[in-house]
Amino acid sequence: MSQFGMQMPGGQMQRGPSLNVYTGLLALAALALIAASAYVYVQAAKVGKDGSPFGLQQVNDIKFAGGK
Amino acid sequence: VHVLTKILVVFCAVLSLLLAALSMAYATNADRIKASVEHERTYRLSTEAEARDQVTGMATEKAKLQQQLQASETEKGSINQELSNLRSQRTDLLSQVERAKADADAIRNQISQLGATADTQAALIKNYRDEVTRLRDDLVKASKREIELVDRVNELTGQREVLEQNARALKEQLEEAKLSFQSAQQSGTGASLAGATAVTEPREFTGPLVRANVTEVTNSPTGDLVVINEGSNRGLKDNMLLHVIRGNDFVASIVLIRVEPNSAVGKITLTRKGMQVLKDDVVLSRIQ
Repeated sequence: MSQFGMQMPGGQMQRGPSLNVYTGLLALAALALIAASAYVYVQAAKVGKDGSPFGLQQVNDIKFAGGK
Repeated sequence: VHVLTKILVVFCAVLSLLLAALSMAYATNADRIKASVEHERTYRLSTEAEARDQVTGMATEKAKLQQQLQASETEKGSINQELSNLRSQRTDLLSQVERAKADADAIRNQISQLGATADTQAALIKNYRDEVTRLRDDLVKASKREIELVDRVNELTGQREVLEQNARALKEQLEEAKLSFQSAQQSGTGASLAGATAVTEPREFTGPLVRANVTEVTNSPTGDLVVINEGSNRGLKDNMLLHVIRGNDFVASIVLIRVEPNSAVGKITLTRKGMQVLKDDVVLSRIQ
């Protein structure tokens, strides 16, 4: 039953994986990615078609948010 | 591996995908915007060049238009001057038209008056013509009557002259008979001397009035003699008594002593006191 995570009486106490330095680096990388994605999102929204960050402009037919 | 690590790995993977997509979209849009900007810049430059050309052309056009405007202003001034002149001429012409209308009315009135006058004159002329025709007819009639009367007068004059000649002849015969009777009577009583004196006594002319003029006055020892310009052609004879007058005044009496056909000589027998016979005095056979 231990394979189901149940701890049976008299069973050996299973020890889970612990946090290590890689977990910290991953967390820092996640924070950097979040900041970069937010910044790029905002900037892409400025140059995207109709204010959409994923919208693609057409050459000689540039359209920004607000119809400018 | 800790579950949190796994979650962070998954989360980082997702964020990586999101960031990759955003980066590609951003890059693509940046490239297209750059191309568009380049195109727009080129277009702007060409447009600016074209605009400069247009500005130059417009400046030239503006200069031309300004010249045209100035010419138009000048023309406008001349047109205004001409307009003012035309207005003054119009005023003058209107006044002339008014005067012409007044003159036309006056002439029309005169024409109507003249027409009435002409009608009146036509009526008068017709009356005059009728009257002249009537007078001409009357004149023709009068002329015919005058001709008839003249013929009648001539006829009567001829008859009168014949009768006067007859009467004169009879008077002369009567005078001669009287003289013969007196002579015979005196010779019968034996007074022949007195009878001779009676025979030589002057007598007046019993015929028509004879009028003559004194042509000459002479003096002779036997008395003053007078020559007149009428003679036997008018019936004058010797020992006839004639009278000399001047104007309405009696001057003298003469007795013919010599008679020619166209002249006679008389002796002055009686002269008015203070007067004497002169040349061109009138001599009448009798004083009327």
